[in-house]
Amino acid sequence: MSFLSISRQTRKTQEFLTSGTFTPSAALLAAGGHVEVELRGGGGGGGTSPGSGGAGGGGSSRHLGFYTVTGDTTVIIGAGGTFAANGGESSFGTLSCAGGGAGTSSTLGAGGAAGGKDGFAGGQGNYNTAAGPYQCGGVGGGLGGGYGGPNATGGPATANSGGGGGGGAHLLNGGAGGSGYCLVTWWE
Amino acid sequence: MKYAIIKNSMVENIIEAEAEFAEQVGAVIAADDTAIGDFYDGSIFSRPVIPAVPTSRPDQIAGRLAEIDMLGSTPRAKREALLGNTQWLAQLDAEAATLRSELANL
Repeated sequence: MSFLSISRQTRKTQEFLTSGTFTPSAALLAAGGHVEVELRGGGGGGGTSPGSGGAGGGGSSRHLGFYTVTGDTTVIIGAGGTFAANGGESSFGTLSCAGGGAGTSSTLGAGGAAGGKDGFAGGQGNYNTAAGPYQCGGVGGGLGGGYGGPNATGGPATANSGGGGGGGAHLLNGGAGGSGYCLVTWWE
Repeated sequence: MKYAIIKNSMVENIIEAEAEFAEQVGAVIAADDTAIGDFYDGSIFSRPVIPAVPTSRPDQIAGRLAEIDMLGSTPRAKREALLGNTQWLAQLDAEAATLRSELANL
């Protein structure tokens, strides 16, 4: 007579909002060390402009990848870019996701470049002579991107969203990009 | 807190980290305005100086006229025209006329 042994696996996750080290459990290593990783780089900072609204910063993509861990693995969370600065790169071991680009600081300049594959470009600032005149900053790219309002500094992106900062109106600073993010998922 | 990862005296990445982790990876505390690509001499961050391109007044005027041309063909311009709101386009035309006159007299 024989008995069938059935083991039930449990889904586990670990979220990183700041850089750190992923330490796999003995059960994960025994199961092969396979993990799924979601990464976002830091969003770019919004720009400003002497002749129009500043451009919004670019947002980083949500990068999904598979990885096999064999021991402690370094996790880097990219910081959001400050005013007119690029966002930092996030990584998990050798997997990485680029940060978003800074919003340009020129008249009707382009929004910040998208970070990583399938990221989000920031919005272009605009120039409006009908009401004043006033200049409106571009919206930061990506989920959680900052607001680029008229006659105001650019809004900051949501923390750990990877979104770009909003562009500042005429000669006003753009907002900071959101920091990056990492989520590790596995079964054991 | 923000820390800078330095490679060859240059900021290679800026990360969010706690002090203990930053020390492990050799990162240094970033200043509020530190950006990727800045120089670091071991104690102070500095921004590479990009030489300003001198722009003459005729070039400035030509640049602004090009922007006005672009604004005149935007969806906003078409929308305002359809709405019968000529003020916006008229202001652009007036600004363009002033600039053209200035350019002619330089």
